[in-house]
Amino acid sequence: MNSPMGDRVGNQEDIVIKAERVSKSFPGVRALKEMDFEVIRGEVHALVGENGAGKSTLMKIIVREYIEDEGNIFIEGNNVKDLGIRGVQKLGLSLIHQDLNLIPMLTVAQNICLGREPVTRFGTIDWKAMGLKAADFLGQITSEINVEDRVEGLSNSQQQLMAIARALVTSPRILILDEPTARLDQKTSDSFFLFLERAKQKGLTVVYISHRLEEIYRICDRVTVLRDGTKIITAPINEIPQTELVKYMLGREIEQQVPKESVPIGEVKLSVRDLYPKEKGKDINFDLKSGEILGIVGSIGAGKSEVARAIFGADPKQSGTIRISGKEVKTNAPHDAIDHGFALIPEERRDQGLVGNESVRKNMTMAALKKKFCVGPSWIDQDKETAAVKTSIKTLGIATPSPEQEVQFLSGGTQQKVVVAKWLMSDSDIYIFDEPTKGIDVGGKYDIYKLIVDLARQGAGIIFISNELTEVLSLCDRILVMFNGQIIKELETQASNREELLFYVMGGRDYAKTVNDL
Amino acid sequence: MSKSNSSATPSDVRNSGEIETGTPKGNRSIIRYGIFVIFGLFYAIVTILRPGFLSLGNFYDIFIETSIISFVSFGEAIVIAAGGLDLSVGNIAGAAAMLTCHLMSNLGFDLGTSLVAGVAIGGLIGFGNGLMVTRLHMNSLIATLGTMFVLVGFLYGLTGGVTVHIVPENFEYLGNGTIMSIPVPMYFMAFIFILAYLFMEKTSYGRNIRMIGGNIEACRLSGINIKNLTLMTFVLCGFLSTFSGILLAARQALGNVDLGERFLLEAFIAAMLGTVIFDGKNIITGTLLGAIFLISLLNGLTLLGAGPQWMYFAQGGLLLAAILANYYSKRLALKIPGQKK
Ligand SMILES: Nc1ncnc2c1ncn2[C@@H]1O[C@H](COP(=O)(O)OP(=O)(O)OP(=O)(O)O)[C@@H](O)[C@H]1O
Ligand SMILES: [Mg+2]
Repeated sequence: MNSPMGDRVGNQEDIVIKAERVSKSFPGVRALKEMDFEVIRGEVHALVGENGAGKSTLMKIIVREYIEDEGNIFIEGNNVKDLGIRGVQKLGLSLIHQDLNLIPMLTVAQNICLGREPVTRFGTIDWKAMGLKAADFLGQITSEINVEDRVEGLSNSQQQLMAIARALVTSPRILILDEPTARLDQKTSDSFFLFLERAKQKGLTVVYISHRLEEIYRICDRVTVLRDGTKIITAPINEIPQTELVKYMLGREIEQQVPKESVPIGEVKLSVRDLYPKEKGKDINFDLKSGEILGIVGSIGAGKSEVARAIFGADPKQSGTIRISGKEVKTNAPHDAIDHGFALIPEERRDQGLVGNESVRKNMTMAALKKKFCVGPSWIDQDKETAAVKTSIKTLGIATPSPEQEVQFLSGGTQQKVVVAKWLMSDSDIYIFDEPTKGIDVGGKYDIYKLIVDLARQGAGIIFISNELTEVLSLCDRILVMFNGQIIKELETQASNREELLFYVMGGRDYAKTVNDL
Repeated sequence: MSKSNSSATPSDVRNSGEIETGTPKGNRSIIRYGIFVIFGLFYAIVTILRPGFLSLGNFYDIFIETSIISFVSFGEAIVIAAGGLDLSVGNIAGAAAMLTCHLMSNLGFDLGTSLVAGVAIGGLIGFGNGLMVTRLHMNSLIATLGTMFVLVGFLYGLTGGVTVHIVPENFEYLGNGTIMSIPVPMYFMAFIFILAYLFMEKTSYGRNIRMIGGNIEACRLSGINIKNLTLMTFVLCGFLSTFSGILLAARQALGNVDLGERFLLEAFIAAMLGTVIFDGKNIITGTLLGAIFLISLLNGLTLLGAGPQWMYFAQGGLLLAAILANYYSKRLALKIPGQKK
């Protein structure tokens, strides 16, 4: 049709996934409308679109977790209508979920081999073989994880890598990755891309969902843009410049510019001295001024979140003092910290940010309920609440059929927006954002950047933790680099650049000298 | 720069045409309608076999009984909403009733003092339960199981296991009297129902109690004081349980050591049904409906001449059904919404 690739796809044999006019509705939402989708053998096919566009839904239908209302799906020519989840796995298909679906109490090995445990002659589980099998699959991607560890003790990125290893157990020929790099840092992503490269050479076909456009240009062959549940275009990636791609996704143009009109920077607002978080990190010292956006970067495991959580009282501290405008405050629990004007946007939306079976409204107002939406000490003013929630839904472009929708039914990125909205409502003084744009679409990211700059302009102090160096460089005034639990470098954004940042993130010591020596 | 314009996404536009009002729930309502249908059928059968089931006199019986178990059921429902469980409710009710009767009949205190003491001890025991759960980090099941047995000891110790018979006339009135030909317990029930409903649905306390039950860590990180709220649920539960115990003693005009024992099962069933009926929303109204269902079921079985074994079968079956329904309504919600076939 309108696909520039259309004529080149002559050989029907080579179409491994074909979805025809697939429609799917949920109560109150039409997630997919006559969606067409084709993937050719051996390619890395990107699937992009806004939060709530229907990407994950389409993939879940392809692997038969959801059943379409209408339409047909063929895997290598086989109609999957009557196949179950196991049935499509036999056809060589494997999906890695956006939200992973791991079992936290079990070990890495148990999770990886779940449902396909090797057995001994006597029919009992062969633990030793299981460990070896798990280590084998895990080894294809990373060498950092011990298969005996429990999943709940792993970091975010380790869990992501593990989920990928688990998907490999069925030896898939088609791998569907739903935002695999949202939890990974630069270094881990890079090694993950190398893995993909190798797998592709061995004939693996990949469907790749991501909101990070740079990586799509880096690793994908073709791209399909989904908007409001329908296909907008499928084309080779190098035929669509990035601005075009964004326009296809949003149906409009946006300024991909962070409005960094200089915000006046004021007095020191927060001073952290000699902080030793209990979890990880040592000797943390820094100041944050009002109106300032302070970035914290570092590879995964550097201790960024641990520092944030210790300041906020979410984790205990070994020692250290925290002063607000010169006055020492105790933050032993999050509610103490909130009383002192702190807000922490946590890194894990599902476990730390949301009450899944409650509505968008209740989730959004949860942090500010007493402060802003109650008459007297505790009587909820529901009209005021609903009005505020509706405004937020508009400002952040939250794709929900109504404020009363339960958040568990929202798309991944939309859930993230709800978490951000919750804290933007809190009228705090000091905001700590821990990976706030994880899983959020291009348009949504710029909305959030703008809102953060607005907060700074109103005099708040902002700590911005992120793995995406690009956004840190464009948003922050100053950047702290953490390595192995310590702050190893402080950089003024204006006088720095991506290479220097990356150098320190990797644990480098003296950039100027190293560059000179080269 | 007008922000609302620049960020109106196509999703807004898309959704604006297709908004359904209310909360979309998918298959979950099947369970709720199932409950109504099953009970409707049962009532129809009982009515055909025993027309007396629909008489006004029987209705009063049902409503008085419902009133009596409603308090303890509300209490249990509130604890369950926050993710806990209170096994000691029956014994709290019993302890409150026995203490009141003992003070009044054996030690000669006046009605008011005895009632206050009875209600206060319930709150106090609830506070103890709450402390064990929030400060000593005990599992609520284990903590309240302990309380349950301690209270059995207390009950026997109080009167040496002897039933207290002689109670003042005006005490009995609480259970058997009428005002404008409506039984007194129903006034209590109506009053407490409204308070409990407003507390759970309209105040930040009730809202946050439910949120805790949904995801305790997210609540903690949002600054909700989970310890104090959890403590509060146990205090409320203990406090509410005493009403059931004292009214039952008043109705029977006697206090005996095992008076409250039936309440644990009944409250648990009513609260579980209550949680299922409205998908975990509006649990107080749901629990009241659950209590009505349960009591009319027992009443119907009695009219049909069923022996105690059938009562227990029915209650046990209903409890399991309610727990299963709860479990499946969660699964339906998460896994297969809108699925065909
Ligand atoms: N189980 C569900 N119940 C109800 N609605 C759902 C369900 N799953 C998805 N939806 C709705 O379907 C639409 C598409 O969701 P989907 O998860 O496919 O989006 P997505 O493109 O993956 O977005 P994201 O980039 O945020 O992950 C959304 O509006 C979402 O709210
Ligand atoms: Mg998704």
